[in-house]
Amino acid sequence: MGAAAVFVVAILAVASPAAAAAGAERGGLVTIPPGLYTPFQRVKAANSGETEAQAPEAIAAFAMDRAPVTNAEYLGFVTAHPEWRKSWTKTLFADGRYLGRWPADLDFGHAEAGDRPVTDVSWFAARAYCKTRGLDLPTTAQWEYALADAGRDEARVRARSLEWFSRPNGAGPGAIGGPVNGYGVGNLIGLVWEWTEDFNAYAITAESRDPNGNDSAAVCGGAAAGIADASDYPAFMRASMRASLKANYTADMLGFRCAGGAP
Amino acid sequence: MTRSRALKVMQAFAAVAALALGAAAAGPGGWPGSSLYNLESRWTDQDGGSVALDAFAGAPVVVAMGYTTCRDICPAIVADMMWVERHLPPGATSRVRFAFFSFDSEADTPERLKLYAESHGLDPRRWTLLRADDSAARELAAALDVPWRPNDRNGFDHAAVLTLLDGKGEIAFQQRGTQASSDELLGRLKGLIAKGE
Repeated sequence: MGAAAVFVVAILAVASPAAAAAGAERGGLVTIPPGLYTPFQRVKAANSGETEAQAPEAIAAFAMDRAPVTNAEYLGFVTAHPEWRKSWTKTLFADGRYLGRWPADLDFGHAEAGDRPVTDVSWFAARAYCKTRGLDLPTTAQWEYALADAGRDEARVRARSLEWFSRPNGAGPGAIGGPVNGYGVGNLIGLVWEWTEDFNAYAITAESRDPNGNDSAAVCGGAAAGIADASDYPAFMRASMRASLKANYTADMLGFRCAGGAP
Repeated sequence: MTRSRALKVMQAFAAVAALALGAAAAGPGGWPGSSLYNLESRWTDQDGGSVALDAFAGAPVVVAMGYTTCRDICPAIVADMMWVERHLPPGATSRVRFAFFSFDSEADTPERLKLYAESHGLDPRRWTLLRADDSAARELAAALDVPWRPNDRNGFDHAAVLTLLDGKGEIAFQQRGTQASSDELLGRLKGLIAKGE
C-alpha cells in the first residue's frame, strides 16, 4: 500500500467520528499536531563537558498508529513476506526468540492473541513491517511527544505507568483498545514497551562513561545522571530500557507501532 | 510499586535480551545468518561507485562509522584504524581492507569523502569511504551496535566502535572506545589471517 493510501486512512480516521470509533477497534493511523518536545536526557555541553538540559525540539505534524501492531496484523505481514517468518529469519535481523509465542511460522496460537500486540519482534522486523505500509517506526521524540499529550493528564499517565511496571507480566499483553489520549492515541503504556527508530540514540552517554565496563551498570548509571526531570521515573525507565536494546533483540514485553510524515 | 520492583522488571528484561545468541545458519544469500553481508543497502564510495556491503567479502575488513566534518571522536577512530594498518603483518597488507561509513548523508558527498581520504593519506588500495541515505546508515549502525544521534551542532554524537569482520561478514571482534593501541583487534585480525581469511 502506498503512502498516499495510508494517509487517506489517517484523514478519514481523524475527520469522521464514525471512522475514529471504528479505528479504536482496528488500530489505524491518527494525526498528531505539531509542537515542541524537550528530550528527557541531559547531554554534555559542547565545551565544558557539564551536562545541560536539551533545548526543546520542534516536532512536525505526523501520523501514528492508534494502537500497537497486533499478532493478526503481523501474521498478514509474514504471510506476504516469507523472509520474516520465524523459521526463515536470520540472526542478524532477529535473535532466536523471535516470535517466541507463535507455535509456527503462520500461527500466532490462540485466537484471542489476534487482538493483542505482537511481541518478540526485533527492530529490524518492526521496521520492515512499517516500511511495507510506507511508514517508519516513530522516533523516540515522536513517541514521547505522543505520550506527553500536550501535558494533558500527566500525573495520571505517570501513575498508570508505575502501576503497570509493578504488575507481573507472565501472561503476556492484553488486547488493544480502551481509552485514547487527547491526540486519539491509545495503549502507549500498559500493554507493551515499544521500539523506536532511534532507540539507541542515548546509549552513547553510557558508553562514553564506561566504554569497557559492565553494560547494565553503565546504562543505568548513565541514564540516571542524565535525566532532565528526576521525578519522571517512568520516563527514566523507558529511556533505560531503550538504551539496553540491540537491534536484533526480541522480548516478550516489547512490541511496536508505526508512524509516518504528516498527511 | 517500588523503585526496586521496577528495576527488577528492567533486569528481567535485560536478562531476556541477553539471550540473543541464536546460532548462525546460512541463509538463501549464502551468508551466515549473523553476517553483516545480509544487509541489502547500497552505498556510494569515494569514487562515486555503487557498493553493496558484500563487496568486502572474502577477506577481513576493519569497519567504523563516523562523518568527515567530525572534530571530536572520528579523527581518533580513523587514527586507530591507521594504527592497525601500520601494524599489519607482512603479506597481509594487500588483503585487509578498511571501510569508513558515514552517518552524514547530506554533507558527505563522494567528493568530500575522497578529499578526506587524500588529506589523511588513506591508501585507496586498502581504504574505502562510503555514504548512503539516512535509512541505510541507521540500519548499518543498528547492525553494528553503534549508538548515534544528530546533535545541535550540525553533526552527530556517536560511539567510537571499530568492528573487525571476517571474510564472511561476521563480527570477529569489536573495540568500543578509541585506544592508544588497538592490540586486541590487531591480534584477532592476525588470527583471521593465519586461518587463511
